[in-house]
Amino acid sequence: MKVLPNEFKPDFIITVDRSLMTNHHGKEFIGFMTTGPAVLFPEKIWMYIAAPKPKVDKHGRPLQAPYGLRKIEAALVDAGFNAAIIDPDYVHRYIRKAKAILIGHHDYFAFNPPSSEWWLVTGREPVNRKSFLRFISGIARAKRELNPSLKIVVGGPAAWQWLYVPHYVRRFLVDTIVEGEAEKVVIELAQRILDGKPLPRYISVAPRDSPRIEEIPVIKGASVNGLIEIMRGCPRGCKFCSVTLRPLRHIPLDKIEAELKVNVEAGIRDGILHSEDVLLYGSNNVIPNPEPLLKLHKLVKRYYRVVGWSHVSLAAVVVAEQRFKLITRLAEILYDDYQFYLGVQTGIETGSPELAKKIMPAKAAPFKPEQWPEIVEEAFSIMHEHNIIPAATIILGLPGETPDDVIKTVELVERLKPYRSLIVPMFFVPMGALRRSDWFRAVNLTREHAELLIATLKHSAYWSKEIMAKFYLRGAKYMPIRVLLEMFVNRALKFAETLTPEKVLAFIEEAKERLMKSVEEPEPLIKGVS
Amino acid sequence: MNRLRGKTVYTDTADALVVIKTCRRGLGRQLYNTIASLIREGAYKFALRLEGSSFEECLDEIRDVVQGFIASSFMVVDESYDVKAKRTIVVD
Repeated sequence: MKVLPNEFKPDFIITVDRSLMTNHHGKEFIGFMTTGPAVLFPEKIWMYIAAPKPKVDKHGRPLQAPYGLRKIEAALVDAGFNAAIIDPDYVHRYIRKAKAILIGHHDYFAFNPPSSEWWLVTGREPVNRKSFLRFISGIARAKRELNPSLKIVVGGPAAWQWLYVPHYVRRFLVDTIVEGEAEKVVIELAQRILDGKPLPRYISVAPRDSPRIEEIPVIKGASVNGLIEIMRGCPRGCKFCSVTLRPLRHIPLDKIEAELKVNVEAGIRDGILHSEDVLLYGSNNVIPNPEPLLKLHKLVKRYYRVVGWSHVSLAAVVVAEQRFKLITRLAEILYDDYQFYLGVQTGIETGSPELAKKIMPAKAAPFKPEQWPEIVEEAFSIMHEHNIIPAATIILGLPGETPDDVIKTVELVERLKPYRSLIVPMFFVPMGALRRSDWFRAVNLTREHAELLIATLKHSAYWSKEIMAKFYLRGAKYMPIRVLLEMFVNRALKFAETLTPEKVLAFIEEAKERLMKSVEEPEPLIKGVS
Repeated sequence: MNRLRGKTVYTDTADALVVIKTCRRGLGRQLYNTIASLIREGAYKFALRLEGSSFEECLDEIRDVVQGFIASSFMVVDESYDVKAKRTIVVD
C-alpha cells in the first residue's frame, strides 16, 4: 500500500472479525468451514484450519484483506480520508484516536446459508457467529470505556441481518447500518463523522443509485486470495436472490488490470475472478460472448499463475461449450505448468423442472426451464471433462416445493455421481422467521428432504477425498491441512453410511431441541414488542 | 481528493420525509401503505424520522417497509437529523 501517513493514526478503521480477516491458507473454499461449528476438533484447531491469522505489517494492516473492505478503503482514500484496513488483533492500538470503525461482513449472525443450516443440523452455533460476537463485544466495550464518540458503522452483504436483532444494535452501540453498494454513500458518512453531524441510523442504497463503473474505485491493497471483481449484478432474476436486483455492470479490462497489478505487487500470484456468472462477462444477454471472455482470461493469465472462478451458471457452461467450444478454449488459456484444474461455485437449486419454472425461470436460459435437469447433467459432464470442479448448491424447502420436486432432485443428484463435484444442500429460511430466536422452527424437513440430505452427503464425501488429494490440497505444502480434513471426511463418510431418513429427521429434531434450550431471548425493547 | 467528496446525494435529501411520532404495533402496516402510495406518485427516496421512539424500539415495525420496497432508497434518522425533502408526511 502506498498511502502511509508518517504518524499512522487512521481516522477510519475498516475491519472485521477473524472468520473473514484471513486468507484461509490461500484456499478460498476452506473458508466455508467458518460457517459451521467446530466438529471433531477443538474450536482453536478448527479456526486455525479455517481462518488462520494473516500476515500484517508493523501497523497491523493485513497484507491481504477481504475485497469488499478493500473497495471501501479505496473509496475513502480516493476521497482524501485517512482510512485503513486493520487486522482485528490490532484495532485496539487505534481505537482511542479513531473517529469511526467500519465493519463489513457477509454473515454477521450466521443467518445466511450454509451457516444457518449447519447451526440447525448440529444444534450448535457456527464459529463465524461466535467469532463476530466476541469481536463486536470488544469493540463496543472499547467504545464505552475508551472513546465514547467513536462511531460504529456496519455494512456489507449481510447488513440486513442487523435489522432482525435490534437488541444487538443497542448492546453493541451500532450507530449506522448501511445496505447496498456503499462506495459512494460511505464518503458522505465519513464527512458527516468528521464534521460532527448526526448520522442516519440506517441507510439503503437503491439499485438506481448504485455506483456507475467509473465511480467504482480500484483497490489500494491486495485482496484475499487475489479475488478481483469482473462484474456486478446478474441478469437471471431468480426469485431467491437479491443480486439480481442490481444493475448489471461489466468492469472494463483496464480496471481489472489495475487491480491485478495491485495484487501482483503485493506478491499474490494466484487469484479468483468474481462475478455471479463469470461466463457472461462482456455479454449483454445470457449467451456468453467469446471475445471479451477470451481477452479477459488472456489478460489475467499474464498476471496470475492460477485462476479460479467464483460462480458460473450451468446453462452458460452448456451454451458456451455447445456453441463456441468456449470451455475448451478457456481451459487451453488457463491450463499450463501451474494450473491443471479450476474450482467454481454454481447453483443447481432443484432437480424439478416445475419448481425451476416457478422460482428461477431464467436460470436455464437460453434453454427452457423444462430442460433444467438435463442442462445440469450436461454442464457437470462438460466441467468434469475439463477438470472444472463445481461446488453446487441445492435449496430445500423453497416456497411452492412439493415432495415430488424433492424426489426429482434426489434422482438428479444420483445421476450426477460420475462427475467430480461437491453438492451442498441449503435450507430456505423465510426472513420473517429470523426476527424470532427460535427461527429454526420455521424449517420443517420431510422424509424426502432427509433422503436428499443423505444423497448429497454421500456424493460430496465420496468426491471430496479425490478432490483434496489430487486437486485442491495436492503437494507437501498442504499436507497438515489435508491430513486433518481427510480425518474429517472419513468420519463423515462412515457417518453417512449409517444414515437413514428416519435417523436424519430424529437427529435434526434433537438438534432443534438443543437449540431451544440454548437460545438467548432478546431483551424486549418496548413493552409487547421483542 | 476525488470529485465525490463534498457531494451530498444520499444523506440529507429525500423525495419524502415521513415523520413517525410514536412506534406502536400496527404502525408497520400503516407505514407500508403510506410508502406504497408515495411510490405510486413517483417518489423513490425516503427518509423516516423517528420522533417518539428510538431506532431499536422501532425496528420491528419499520423493517418490513425498508426491506419490502426493494427498488427504493431508505434512510432512518433520529429527531435531530435535518433532511431536505420535497414533501413531509406525519404518521401518528
